[in-house]
Amino acid sequence: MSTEQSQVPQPDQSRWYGQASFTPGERVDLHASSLESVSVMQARKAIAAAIHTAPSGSLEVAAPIETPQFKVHRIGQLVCAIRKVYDDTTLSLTEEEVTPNNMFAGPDITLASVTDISDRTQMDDRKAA
Amino acid sequence: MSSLFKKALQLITGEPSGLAATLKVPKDHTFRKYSERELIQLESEIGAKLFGEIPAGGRREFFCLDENTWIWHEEAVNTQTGRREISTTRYEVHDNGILKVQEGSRYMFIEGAELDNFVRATQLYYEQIARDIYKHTPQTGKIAA
Repeated sequence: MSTEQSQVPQPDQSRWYGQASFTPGERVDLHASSLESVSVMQARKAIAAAIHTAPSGSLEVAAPIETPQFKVHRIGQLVCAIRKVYDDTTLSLTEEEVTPNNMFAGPDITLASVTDISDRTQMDDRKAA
Repeated sequence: MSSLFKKALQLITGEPSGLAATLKVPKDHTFRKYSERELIQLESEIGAKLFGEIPAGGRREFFCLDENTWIWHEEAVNTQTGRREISTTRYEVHDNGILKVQEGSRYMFIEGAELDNFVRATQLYYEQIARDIYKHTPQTGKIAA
């Protein structure tokens, strides 16, 4: 391999790259090099942030690829966060925070009712996809 | 044995199934707090059902232990030998993949269909525990109306 060839920048495999053209208030067309490995939610966030700093025209964006381990880590964070709200050992709710909707709801929370797993709501980004 | 694994084993073996029946809120809606352990056991009852029916005489647990650790525990009677077989698997989230740790087996990063299924299972787990235990809308993380 020659010196020139070795100096050619290689794509960063941990990131995806995309281009967007748009006018303010109108639809943004996104073309990404590896969109199949990126959640739509993530792409939206990256573009929204880019547009915020570049109010019109075209732009290029790059963001980390959402790997499976990243997804699972994020889900783990969500689970732990929601659990902490009810965990006696980590947080005490004040009387004002106690409403019928943020406590366990008595008879209808028996887990025997959780049987129909076909009634699954999709994650928001999957819906958008 | 690591403290993490001890914690997982304690969660798995410490209580009989059917915990939900003992964790009902009184009818007068007096607010009752739960320990982390009790909450994980409630979640695990949902997690176990994500993978279909549990064979007769068997037992399954699947839960999120912490942000980077998931536990699968399965007990089943081998129909040929009549012996009870028990296996516990720990899935660890690392920067470079999800490591599957089983006693007596080689550690390996899961891939392919197993990885896809695992990711999907964790998503369903969150959606269902958020909605059915914590009464939150999974998509927004806010209390359901």
